[in-house]
Amino acid sequence: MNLLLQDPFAVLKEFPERLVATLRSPLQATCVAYAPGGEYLACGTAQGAVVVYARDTQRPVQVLGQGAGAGPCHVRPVQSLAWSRDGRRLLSCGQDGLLLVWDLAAAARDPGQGQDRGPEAHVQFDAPVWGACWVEGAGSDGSWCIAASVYERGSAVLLSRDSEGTVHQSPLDADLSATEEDQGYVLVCVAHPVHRDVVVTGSSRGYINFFRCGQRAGEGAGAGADGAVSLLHGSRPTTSNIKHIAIAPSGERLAINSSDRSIRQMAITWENENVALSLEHKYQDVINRLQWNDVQFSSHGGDYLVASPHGSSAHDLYLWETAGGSLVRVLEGADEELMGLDWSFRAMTIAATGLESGDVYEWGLAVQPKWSALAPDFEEIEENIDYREHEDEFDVTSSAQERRATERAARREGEPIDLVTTDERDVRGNEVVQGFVIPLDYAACVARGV
Amino acid sequence: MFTLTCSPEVPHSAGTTPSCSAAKVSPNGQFCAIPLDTRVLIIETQNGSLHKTLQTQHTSGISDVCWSPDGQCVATASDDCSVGITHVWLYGPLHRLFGHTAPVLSLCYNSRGNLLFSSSMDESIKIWDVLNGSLIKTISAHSDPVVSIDLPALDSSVLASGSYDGLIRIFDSHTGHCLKTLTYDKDWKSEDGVVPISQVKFSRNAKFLLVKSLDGVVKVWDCIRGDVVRTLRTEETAHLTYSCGMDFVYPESDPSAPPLTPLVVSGDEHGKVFCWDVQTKKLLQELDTGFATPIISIDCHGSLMSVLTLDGHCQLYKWEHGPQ
Amino acid sequence: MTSTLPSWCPKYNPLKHDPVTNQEVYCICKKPDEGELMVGCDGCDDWFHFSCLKIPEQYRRLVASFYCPYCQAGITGTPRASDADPVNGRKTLWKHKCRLEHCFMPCQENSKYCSEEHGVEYMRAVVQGTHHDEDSSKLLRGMIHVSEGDSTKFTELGQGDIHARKVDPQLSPEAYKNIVTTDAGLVRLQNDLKNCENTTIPRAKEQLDTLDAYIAWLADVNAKLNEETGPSAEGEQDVDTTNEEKKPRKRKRKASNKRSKVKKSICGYPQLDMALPCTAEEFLQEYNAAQENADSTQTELRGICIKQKCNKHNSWVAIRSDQRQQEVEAAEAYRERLELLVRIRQGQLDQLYLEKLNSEHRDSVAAAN
Repeated sequence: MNLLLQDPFAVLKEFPERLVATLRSPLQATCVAYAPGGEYLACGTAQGAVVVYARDTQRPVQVLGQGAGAGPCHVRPVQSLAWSRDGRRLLSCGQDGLLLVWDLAAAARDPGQGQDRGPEAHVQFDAPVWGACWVEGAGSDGSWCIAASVYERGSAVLLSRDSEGTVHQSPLDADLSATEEDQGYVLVCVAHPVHRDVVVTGSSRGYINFFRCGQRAGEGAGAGADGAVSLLHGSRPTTSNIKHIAIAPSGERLAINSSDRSIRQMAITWENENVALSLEHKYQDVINRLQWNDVQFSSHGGDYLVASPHGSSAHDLYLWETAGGSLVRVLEGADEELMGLDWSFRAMTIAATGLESGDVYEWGLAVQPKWSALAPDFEEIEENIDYREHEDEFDVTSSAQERRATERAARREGEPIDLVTTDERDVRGNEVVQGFVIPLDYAACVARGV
Repeated sequence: MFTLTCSPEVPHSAGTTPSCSAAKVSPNGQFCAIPLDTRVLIIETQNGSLHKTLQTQHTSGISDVCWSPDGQCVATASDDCSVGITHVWLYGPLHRLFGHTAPVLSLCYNSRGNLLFSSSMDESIKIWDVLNGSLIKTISAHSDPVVSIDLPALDSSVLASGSYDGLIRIFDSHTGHCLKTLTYDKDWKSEDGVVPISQVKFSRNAKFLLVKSLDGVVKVWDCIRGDVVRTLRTEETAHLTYSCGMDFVYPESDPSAPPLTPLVVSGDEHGKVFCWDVQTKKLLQELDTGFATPIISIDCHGSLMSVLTLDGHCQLYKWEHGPQ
Repeated sequence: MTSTLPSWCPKYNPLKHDPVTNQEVYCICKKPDEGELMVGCDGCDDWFHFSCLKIPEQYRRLVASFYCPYCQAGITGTPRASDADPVNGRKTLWKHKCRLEHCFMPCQENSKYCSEEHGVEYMRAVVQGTHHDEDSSKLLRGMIHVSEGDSTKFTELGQGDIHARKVDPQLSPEAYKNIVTTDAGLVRLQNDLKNCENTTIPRAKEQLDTLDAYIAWLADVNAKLNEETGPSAEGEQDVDTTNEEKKPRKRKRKASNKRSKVKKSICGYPQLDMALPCTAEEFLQEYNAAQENADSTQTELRGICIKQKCNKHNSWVAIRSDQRQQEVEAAEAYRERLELLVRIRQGQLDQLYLEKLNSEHRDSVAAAN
């Protein structure tokens, strides 16, 4: 709504332009993830806690783990975070082999309701968890399905929670990997933004696979447990480690960050159940030959791609335009190497974590105040102009003009008005959703006051 | 038609009139908060019985009260220049927010309930962090007391303010920049000077703004185009001393039936509430509270309407869509 | 920017000596010193008459730092490098005046009075009601009444925590029961606290103990393993200092993993739980049997990882200890928080109860009248 009243040229920029905020805390952030609505920013920290910031106050609304509460939490750095689509649950994976699911509605519940304040579910693996994604968000019965990539495992792990709260584990590609050649270990798994039950995995030997995890319809044990996984696509775009996979929100573009110092941008074509990938561009730092720490697309079709370069001398984010593959912007302002990053499409901001300090840097749009809004018959001009009074400027307005104005006003009074219906999309074309509101922890504010 | 459901009694010693200033219905419609001196009465809307009394830390009377969107807290604006936040059910007083230099007049939460906006006689609007009680921003863009502020219930990116300087401004609630000024045209000045604005209220979709001025006229503004789309006035022209309250009503209808058109209600200084169909501008009801004193607050929730008169009578009404 | 001169102050004149008499001249009036009361400016070192600056002479002892109108306006005075704001920093500052109305002496440190005598004088005036402040004299009389003439009691008034004071349920057992004992919020909090104390914390501690026992068992196994492989192996039982050094932990614990100086040791990561499978001797026998087996690619025995160099379970002992430790700490922190909330709720309810008693009392007095 505020965007409708802003200067369109200031608002309709396609990527953030300048550093607008730095979040500092005693905990060192290792990874960041924006809530689907962009109102919150979750930071995983080296100490194991997950801090959720409200973007409007730039202050934490929730600190998950390492506080007062019950149940397990991370004691080693958080490796990755993922928000559920409705913004109510947060998934965190740690180097201590814990995968935790936090229900943000319960986390701030008042004590004295017979509920522990720990995570909703936890899975302990015997080795670090690299990453995880939501395959299916929580249904009304509290069931969900998650795919995770775990240290030295040839297959991603599918975790599904049934309505009783039991979590079932199964390998994602139990019968497929046996027949194929050695693909190495699965390092990355991401969910497809459009085909929501499709998981894309990347392996240590450069293989990329698309799996459809099947419908859960009627299956008590959840997706995948009955072997309803099918391989849609498998290829080997590179021979080295796949470190990250980013998919544009439209689901038509994919970027692979691998340890051979390049980011491959590929188009995804989807024909029935056949998926094909074709290379569009390859991004490399030709001068410094840097690796890339993280990579992320912009909104919609992924018209822009942002990446953080590896190495102590690189302090900026690089932003490319994906149609032509040219570098359009270097986002400056941080004075250290940047690690994990995320792009919020609704808030039009990019957040990245600093390697040394653990601060979180945020780039955004700085919209200048419009002084003419204070008095609408004033006009902002670039430079002084010699004003010439019109012949009839201070004449008493002609009755015809006045009549027309009255008529117009009268017509407006008769037009139907709609006080209730909201717009489906904001001015940037993002779908407007009422994001989940994290309940405020009033008990914490009482405890602080005493 | 609005029909009276109950008239909760405001306790006061005999022979005096209780000094109440507002009656606000809670987000779930179950309770109504009425500030009385430095206390806040929580009244059940079902039967009008007193549920509990909250003690605040204010040293002067309370001029406005506002429920947090989660229904857990009430914020109070006081003449002692401070704002209080009190947890209704468990924790009692949470914060007292100092910073205004004159009595605080109006309050509003954002939709997530983590920011509180307050406006004051000191001509400024302040934004507070609800969790730790710190001041985030001060917006100064009026030249007279800011008597009313409002944020849309669904989209808290904008803030509307109405001031005695006759201006209605819309701000970006995050940056504090003014986005638009609505009253700045020929009707800005009447024959006897500026018409002070007394109350503003966003429509549910935030695209329209209901504005009442002290001449008793209620207008619906189109926020985007910046023009008036409805003018609702009673026959006699008034020069109000009090705002006399006004609100949108979105009557709850049977989910299967077509949705009912929204209404506008507005009070006057003789104990009457007028109710219009906002589409046709037809006056649907002229409700008489039975007390010939000014109405000072009207607040609606679904089909429920709470009305408070200057001499401390509170009444709760329910809208029933009768065959007309 | 520069504050302007007050209307009564003439424009700055740099004159230092009278052109006629060649006497030194001072102040804004540019007259020689004739013994009138003057004050020195901290900015330009010139001297100024109290009368010329419209300062009452009785304030003479209250000046903390003085700047003349020209320095305040930024006309004279050399800006010091240390001043962040060289012009606005130059303001005349005053000391606090004694609370006694007619006394213009500065206050002593941590006092509102210039001297003890004046403090006594002020208080006497308040008590006798000669002072116009009605409220404070009432309050003071009340305080004297409550402290029963005991000076230590008097000074301690108001220092106690209001929540710490106990209320007497016997005054109105019925009301106390209704308001305090049966309050749903309080009951819930108390139940939660009980639950936390009786279940959560013991369970967390139990897990910590199980882990400790397992680690001890594992150390035993590894020690015995070394004994078998030959006495030449150095650093027999004691173990794993590397990990302890890297991550100092609150609890020192004997631990062993593949990084210890012991030449031969197994990872020991338990796949299932921390329950001890069998005695160390039995386990070693089975282990040796498994090793003798032709294909010694076996990595698990009784659900326990027996790899000697295990990257997968790298430093699992440290991680698991931290986790268990953390759980105990979190549960204890939760208990503390619950205790605090119980206390707050109790205080609120006590207050309600007192209010209720108060109003009952008032009603009965009103009825009696």
